[in-house]
Amino acid sequence: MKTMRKEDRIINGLKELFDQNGYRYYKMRKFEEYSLYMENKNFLSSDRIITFNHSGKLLALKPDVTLSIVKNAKAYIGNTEKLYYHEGVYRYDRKSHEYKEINQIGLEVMGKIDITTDCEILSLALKALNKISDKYMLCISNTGIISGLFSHFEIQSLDIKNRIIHSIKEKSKHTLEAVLDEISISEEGKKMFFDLLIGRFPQIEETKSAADVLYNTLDFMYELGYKDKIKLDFSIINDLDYYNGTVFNGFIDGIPKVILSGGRYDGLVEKFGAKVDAEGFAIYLDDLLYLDESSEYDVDVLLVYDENASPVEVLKKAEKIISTGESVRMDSRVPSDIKFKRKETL
Amino acid sequence: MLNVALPKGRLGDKVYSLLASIGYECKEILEDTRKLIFINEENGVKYFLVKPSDVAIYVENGAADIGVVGKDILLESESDVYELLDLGFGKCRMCVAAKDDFRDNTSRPLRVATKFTNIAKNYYDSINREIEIVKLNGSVELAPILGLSDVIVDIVETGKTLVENGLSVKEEIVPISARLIVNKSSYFFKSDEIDKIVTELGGDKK
Repeated sequence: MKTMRKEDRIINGLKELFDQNGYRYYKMRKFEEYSLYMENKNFLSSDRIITFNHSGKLLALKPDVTLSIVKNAKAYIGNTEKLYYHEGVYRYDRKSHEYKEINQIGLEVMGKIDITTDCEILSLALKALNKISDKYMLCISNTGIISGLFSHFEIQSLDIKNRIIHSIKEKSKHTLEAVLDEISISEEGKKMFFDLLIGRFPQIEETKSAADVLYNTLDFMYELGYKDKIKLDFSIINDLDYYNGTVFNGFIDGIPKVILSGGRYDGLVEKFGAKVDAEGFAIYLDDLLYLDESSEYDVDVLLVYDENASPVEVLKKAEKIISTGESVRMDSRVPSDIKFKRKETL
Repeated sequence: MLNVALPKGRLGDKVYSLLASIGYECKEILEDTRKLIFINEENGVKYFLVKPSDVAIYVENGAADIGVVGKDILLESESDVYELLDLGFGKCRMCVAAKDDFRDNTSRPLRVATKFTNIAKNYYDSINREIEIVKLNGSVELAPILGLSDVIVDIVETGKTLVENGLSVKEEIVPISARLIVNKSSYFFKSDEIDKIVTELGGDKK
């Protein structure tokens, strides 16, 4: 029986991966000022945040890590900062109507991002997924595709944009068609939107630069050997005010939700008054519970000692068992609720 | 193995016969039994019989790869799933209904009785009307008659129930029908099989 929980092994593996690639470990403070989140509500998935009053200041239990890192973005001008973190964030779950602590591990790059950095981050995302399972998939897109289409058809209404985005996110062709019909998009135009649902690029001027970036990135990732692990998926659309470029989601066979999510978000940094490039991703460790690793035994060896046994002998025997790679539980009685492979007595 | 969440009742029967016709037969499901899980290894399919309002939850949490659910339940549960097809049956409308002589008094919040609290909230948000929700689980038509609410938000099929109770449709919120939904992760790992189902079922639609 392996003696470390699978989740801990994965976390250690991820931290090692980031260390090996020169990322610095960033430790966050537990609390931030509530104003940080209030002023950037749209970046968060929910505006329900746990707050408390401390010496007249309204503080919050952090719902997000990226904002805290970006807050200091002005300091990153001149140098590129590569950070990784392992933090709990506090979010409200609409389904269960309760606040939860969500365990996240992720990385952020702030400074100058070129095509190599882009590929580096994607490759780290792929390697990170591989640390969890070899049955993984990374889906990528570029925000320029949808914003280019909006420009081309001069779609300005926020309501229409949101409805189009919503239907593409749901991969719902019929709902998308209904919205496009409402604004009288031609059959040819509709086809361009439908093509997004099957991963086909629109061939218009406004999406050309996004398409080029995506094509080149994909070429490089294929060359690195990720051809059957990476897929184009234009249904990945993050808030266009913050994300400007590559966006991606990671999936594991057996985990029903998005386990990794990230992208290029210069737009968020700009809102903090800094002009640096920024890109990163986060992995949601709580979803690892879907990978069932229930083992038959709680412990390898049950070491039962009687009242006359010498403590030194018992402890030395336990150490000997552990040194051969097995786990051991010392007990003066046989416990009824522990499953063990074999028993030894002293 | 394809995992399918089937809603108990008429909708589920219809969905099963559709899937059976494209190769996912599992005769055991037609037998008189209290079982909830039906497996046909040969056809590679596992069916679960589920309460209609729970189908989206099973699919969202990966217990099922695909399911069929009414758009009303989908909108209300706000599930994070792919909605790949409008199957075109189970058609009805989500409407606002009230007593025939109802007139909206905009000087105070509108009291809305409904099972569909999210749909009602979102609709009235979009038209900037302040409301008070009275959450009920059934026979919602009683509420405005007994003065429990001003209006109701509910599904309307033929409209007969409303008429027989002195109510009428005041607004149509959204048309409803049965939708094919797919778990977001399953979609990528079983894409060939799921694409094939969508193509074959999509062709059936009028």
